[in-house]
This record gives sequence, structure tokens and C-alpha cells, in this order.
Amino acid sequence: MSLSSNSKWLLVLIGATRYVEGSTRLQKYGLLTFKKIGSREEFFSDWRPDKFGVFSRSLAQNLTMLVDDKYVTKDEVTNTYGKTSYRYRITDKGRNEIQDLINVKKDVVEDVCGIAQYYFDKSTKEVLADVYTMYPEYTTNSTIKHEVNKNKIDQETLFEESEFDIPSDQAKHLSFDLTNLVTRNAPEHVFNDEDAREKLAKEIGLRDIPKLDATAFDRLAGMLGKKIKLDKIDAVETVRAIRGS
Amino acid sequence: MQKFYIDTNVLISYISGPQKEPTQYPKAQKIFSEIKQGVYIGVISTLVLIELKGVIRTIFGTDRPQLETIEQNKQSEYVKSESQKIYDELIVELLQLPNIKFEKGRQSNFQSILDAANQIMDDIKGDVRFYNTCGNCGAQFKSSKHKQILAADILHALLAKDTACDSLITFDKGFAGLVGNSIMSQLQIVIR
Repeated sequence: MSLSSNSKWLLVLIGATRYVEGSTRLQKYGLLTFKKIGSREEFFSDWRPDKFGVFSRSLAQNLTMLVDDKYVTKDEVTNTYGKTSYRYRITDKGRNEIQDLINVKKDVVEDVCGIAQYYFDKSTKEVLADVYTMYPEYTTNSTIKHEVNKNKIDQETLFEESEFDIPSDQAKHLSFDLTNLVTRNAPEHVFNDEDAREKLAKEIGLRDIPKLDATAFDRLAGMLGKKIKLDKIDAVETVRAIRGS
Repeated sequence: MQKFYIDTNVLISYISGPQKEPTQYPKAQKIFSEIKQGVYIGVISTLVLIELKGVIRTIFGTDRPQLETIEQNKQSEYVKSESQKIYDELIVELLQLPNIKFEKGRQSNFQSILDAANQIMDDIKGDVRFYNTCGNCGAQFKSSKHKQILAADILHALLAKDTACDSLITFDKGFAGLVGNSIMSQLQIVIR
């Protein structure tokens, strides 16, 4: 049985980047997608204010179905702050399902990709701040509105300098990369600190990324010096030697 | 918050401590203290981590008394494995530092980075220096050298730019050649 248009566009949204972290983030992407392509394509339209802001029950149900049917994987990860979250990634089966969209509706696909790619390197707080600002009508039942508003104030100066026009001004400022939609060998996204931390942790044999701990600054200071016999290190010269000076 | 690309020599100075690196450690300590306080974000690139590995191996390679106790064909493996242990311990701590980011840049077009590096090399003249004594033995020896920025320095600066850092912070005066270069555009080179 082929997937509905809703499900396929949700796959495009998830496949636009290497992963989407957290269902709350995906819900916000969903609203932005609806606002952007809703008049042209069939996409989830049952948006209502909920405790974490805007929410679509049908998107949530579709997501569960896509995971159950292996179009999308859902992996538990521990983030930088030690909290558990879920990463949603498109599978090869999922990619196959959206090939027709990529071929026939490239413009719309680019619009959808632009949303996920724009926010990929931004924190969930930033995503929430943007969506709460643009669509306050969906924040009436939010239990985190106060926190989000505080974050909005913190970010005001950043907004002034940023491309804060999603989704109204279409995608003219955004750059698109459809690589992840069509191949497993997607490029790493810029500023992907979480991914880099995960990779580093794995490289040195850790199961999870260590939690942030400011006392590590003290432990790190002089750590190498204590473990080596060399009397003195000239850091500049030693590094220059490594660089071939 | 502004983002500062941390050059390898800053990291090495900090982890060397005040006894082993008395000259640079206080400056490194100040930088990491500012990061801790959230004055700015410190960015550590994969290239810096590669050099960190290289530096640790170099240091182990100087421990001749220890190396002489090991069979010749196992000395390199010893240096590598012992260095790796320390590197791993350092990474565990580095991963816990708040306000530190491990960024790899866009990776979209490595050739464009190399093209920019090539252009910078063309832009920089370097300078010629005359020497009247041998740098090693101090004997009278007339020679001259052309001093220029290292290719790796240029790559660090381009990586800093690629990761949208506001500044690159280093202790190496060799980076002065990059100050004002048009390709660096908004990236500020901070030499302490």
C-alpha cells in the first residue's frame, strides 16, 4: 500500500537532514511546512495549541506509523545536557517512497528541505522561540511559554541579524541540499556539535557523551603536564614542529 | 555569543599546566576561564585534535631512556598506544567542558578551502631574514631564510571561517601574516 501525501511530505521533512532530534522539534517543523506548502500540497492541517505549543495529532500518528513500518528509524540518544531524546532518520525504504516527489515536485521539496536545514544546527529553544513568535495563536495552552519568551528576549539581537523570515518570505535566503534525500552518504551539516561529540565519545570507547561539567576545566588544566616526563613544553614551537616548520 | 576558534597551541598550553609551560599557561588559563564563564564559545576542530595527537606522540618520542628499554620494532607502537591513552583521557574531559563546541565545518567542498589557501599563499610575501650564526651550534655561519606562514596555519584559519567563528585565538605570531587578508574577511586573528 502506498503512503499518503501527508506521510510522504513528512518523510521529505525528516530526510532533509541527517536526522531530526525530538518530536517537539518535528511538530514545529510540521507547522512551518504546513504554512509554507499547505496551499499547494496536502499536508497535516489539524494544528492546535497544546502544552508544548503547536501540535498535530495526525502528524504524531503518522510518525509512529512511519517508524513502525520502518520508513523512519527512532534512536534514543543522550544529548549534551544528559537528557534522553529521540532521533528520527529516514531509511532507504523511506527514500524510495519519496523519489517521485523529488523528481516531479522539486520546488516544493526544496521548500520543505529549507525548513529542516535552516533549523538543523539551531537548538530546540531557538526553534520554539521562532515558532512562538510567528504563530502566537498556538501558544495559548503552552506550559513552557514563559521559558520560551525568556529565550526569545535573549535572542532578540540575534534575530535582527538573522534570516528571520521563514516561512513567509519563501526560501530565497536558504540554500538547499537534497543529498540526504537520495543517498546515505549525506554531508555532515555545519555546526553539528552533537554529532561530533557522539563520534568522539564513540572513538574513545564511551557509550554515551559525558555530561557537561564545569569542574572538567580544572581537571584538564595541566593534565598532560602531570603525565609526561618532559621538564618543559614550548607549546608554540611544539605545534609548529607538528605543522612542519 | 561570539565563537573563538582555539588554536592547538592554546590547548596544549592549558593542558601542559604552569610547571611545564610557564610562559603560555597563564594566557591559556585566562582564555579557558573566559570560556568557562561564558564570555565566548570555544571551538575545537578536528584538525586541532589531530595535532593534539601528534604533539603527544612527539613528546613520548623524546623519552629516550624509556624507549631504550623497549625492543626497537615495538617502540613506535609503544609511543602510539601510550599517547592514545592520554589522548582518550583528555577527550573525556574536553567533552565535558561547557561552552566548547566540536565543529567540523561545512565539509561541502574541500577543494574550495584548498583554493582559498592557495590564494592566501599567493597574497602573502613572507620575509627574508639573514643569520650570521648557526641556530644549532652557535658557530659563525652566514645564511638566509625566507619565513612565511605555514600551510597548516592557513587551513586552521580557513576552518575557523568555515565554522563561522568570529575570531581565531593563538599564541603563534606566525599568524600575523593573515591579519587583514581579504579572504579572511570578518574573521579576527587574535594573537596573545
